[in-house]
Amino acid sequence: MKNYIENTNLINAYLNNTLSGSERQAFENRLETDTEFKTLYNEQLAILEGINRIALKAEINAAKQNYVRLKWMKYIGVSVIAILVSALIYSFIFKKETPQTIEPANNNEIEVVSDSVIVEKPSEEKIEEEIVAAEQSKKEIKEKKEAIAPWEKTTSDDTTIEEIVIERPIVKELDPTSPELISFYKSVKKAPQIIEVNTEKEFIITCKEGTVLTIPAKSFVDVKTGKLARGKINLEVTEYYQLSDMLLGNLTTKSDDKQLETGGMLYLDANKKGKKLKLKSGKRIKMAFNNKGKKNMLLFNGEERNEGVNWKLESQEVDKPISVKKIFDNEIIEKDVKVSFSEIDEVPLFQKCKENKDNSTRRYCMENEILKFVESKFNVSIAKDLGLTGAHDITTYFVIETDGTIGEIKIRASRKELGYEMIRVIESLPKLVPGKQNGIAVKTVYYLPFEVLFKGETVKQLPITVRSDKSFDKVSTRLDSVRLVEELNRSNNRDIERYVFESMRLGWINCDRFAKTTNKKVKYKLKIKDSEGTNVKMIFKSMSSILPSTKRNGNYEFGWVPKGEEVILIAIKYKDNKIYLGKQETNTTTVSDLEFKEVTIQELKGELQKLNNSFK
Amino acid sequence: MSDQKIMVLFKNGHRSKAFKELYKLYPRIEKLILSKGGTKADANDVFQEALIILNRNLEKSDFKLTSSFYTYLYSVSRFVWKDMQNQFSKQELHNLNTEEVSIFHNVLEEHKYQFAEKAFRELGERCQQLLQRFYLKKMSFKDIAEAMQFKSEKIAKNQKYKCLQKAKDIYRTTIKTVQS
Repeated sequence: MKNYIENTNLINAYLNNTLSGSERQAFENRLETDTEFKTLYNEQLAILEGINRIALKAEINAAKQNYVRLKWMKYIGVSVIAILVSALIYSFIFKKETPQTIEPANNNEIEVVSDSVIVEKPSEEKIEEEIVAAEQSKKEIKEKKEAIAPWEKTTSDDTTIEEIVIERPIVKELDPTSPELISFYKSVKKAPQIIEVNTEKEFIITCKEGTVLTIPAKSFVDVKTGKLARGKINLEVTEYYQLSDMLLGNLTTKSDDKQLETGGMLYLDANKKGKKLKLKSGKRIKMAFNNKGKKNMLLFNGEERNEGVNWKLESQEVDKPISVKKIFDNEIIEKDVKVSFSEIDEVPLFQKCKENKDNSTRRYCMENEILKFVESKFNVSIAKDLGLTGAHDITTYFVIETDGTIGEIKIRASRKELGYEMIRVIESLPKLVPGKQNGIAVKTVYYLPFEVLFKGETVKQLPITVRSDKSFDKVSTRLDSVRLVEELNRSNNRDIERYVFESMRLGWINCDRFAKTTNKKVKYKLKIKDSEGTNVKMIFKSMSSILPSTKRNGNYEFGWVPKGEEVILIAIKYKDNKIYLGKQETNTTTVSDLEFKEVTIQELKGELQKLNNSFK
Repeated sequence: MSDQKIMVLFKNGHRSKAFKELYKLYPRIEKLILSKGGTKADANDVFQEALIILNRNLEKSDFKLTSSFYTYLYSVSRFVWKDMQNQFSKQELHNLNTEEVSIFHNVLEEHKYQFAEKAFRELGERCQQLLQRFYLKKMSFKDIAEAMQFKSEKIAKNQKYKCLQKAKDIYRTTIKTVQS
């Protein structure tokens, strides 16, 4: 036993490297000669290594725990991030959706409006002419224009083209009308007519100045609570048919930068015991404006701004035929109906297709002719610089108006340049024979699929929408408001008696049309000294139109106005509690000066009322 | 972490840290074992053995790691697994290259230590503690006597020999049973 202990110690010492050089040598010699000692050594070594393994395993296990922990932390981290991301996405979508349902965004589509927007009749061209630079060579302008935008060139068959107008988006720099003036306008504006309405039944009322309102039963809800208003409510109606009323109400007839002719404006408001009400969604107030002899009126909604009210066209539900209704015992002719080319009774035609007697052969002829026309006119070279390859679909919808001219064009194409080119081609179509439904000329919607083939591979691209609008300039699509135009026609007399509109909202409502003038346009501005607190408006004698001005660098600018129009300039200045009125009859080619005189409110009203007769 | 840095950890005695780094290679080894029909527990055991073998080799002065840790651990794991399954065919052994032969030897050599470990684990708790304190923690008998409440240093010393002897006896018998 003693020997054994000694040997074990010796082996330990050897393994621990505590032996001296000679001892070490002796030990190793012994290992080689003494087999029993060697076995002992090996055993000892194995046991030590076995013990060592336990320590190693403990360390490896610790490493494993660490690894597993890290792995879980990773999982947890990833899932936390995933949850956060999905929460973000959810809230993002949610937030995005909410305003869409409540108040639809103006327009998601890319809209391009071709220059013809301001050309009322495609065959007639207008000239742009600035008073300041009147002598500019026409040719030069024309060339310049062509260089800028070849597709914007409007072609016409026979009329002499003098110049083509490009409507550039005008950067609005609105005169921050002085608060004093705004409060002044508030004080002088017309008091509303307050009508007590029982909401339980349909209610029809003729207002003071002849507007007939038809309000369906149970159509008001509380703005705040959304609860249906029952029983009696107060409806406040302010009618603006008179020029003086409009001027005192700081109203003008402009939709963005388009001049309007008004057929009357209304301001509607409703409350129940002082609590503001609004129209229940889906309910519509029918309003018949008191405006004889005006055609093609449209319904506009007003957006009140500091400088007045800007009118926006109520969007129209396209392709939805309006049912014939009888109102005021007059027959209504569906004039705004659009019928699809494939369904129409009598298809719109090229003159040469008239030879075909049968509708289906006519339709075939028409389709052929349009395709031939487009194929021959479509200028593929516009795509040279775009590097287009393969097949490109251009889907076109366009309206053939009741007079056979081309109306709205809507195009879906892979590139906007292709869309523009297609607009150019379609607009250059000759005058067609309009389509008829039930013997009445109606608008026809024509669908034209077209494919342009370039060399190379076809790449799938998301199409974009390009539009040309004859009458609707950047009309915002509002899902919640549907306009129904019902023109009342007497069967024996095509003069329009009244306009009946349906509005889905209260507030500012305007029965207007886009001003139609064939006149050239000029830029008009006015310089007024000491102009603080002054508001200048231009009244057109030939049409019911009031244009506002914007103040820029001390000048009052009216933008582009029809040339040679007889106008009245009205300036109202309110400063230090004193009212000044400036009035000047002039025309749009003469630069005039305004002279101000101090007036009382009564005098102001009187002066403005004098003008009412000049407003047709 | 690069292999070089891990190597430095080993050299400087930060073995635990090195193991932690090497454990990052575990998923790939686990994949290998799972693909060979093993379970996750098997994979765990195999990787543990591979790390022990690596560590043992690194302690040898004549060992040089010729490939990356991953490649080395991968082939060691492969051998360990085959060894566990007793799947070596003569043909296969014949075709091994030198490096593989050395790994194969390492794996076989490890059996001894596994038996020793097993023998050690069969000792009583107190014996295990005593031996671990002496051999692993390199504690003096005086400290061991104090920590384990032996009456004297000598008793601790005596006890240690007895425990070691016992382990050796168990070890010897297991070796014999395996060999017979």
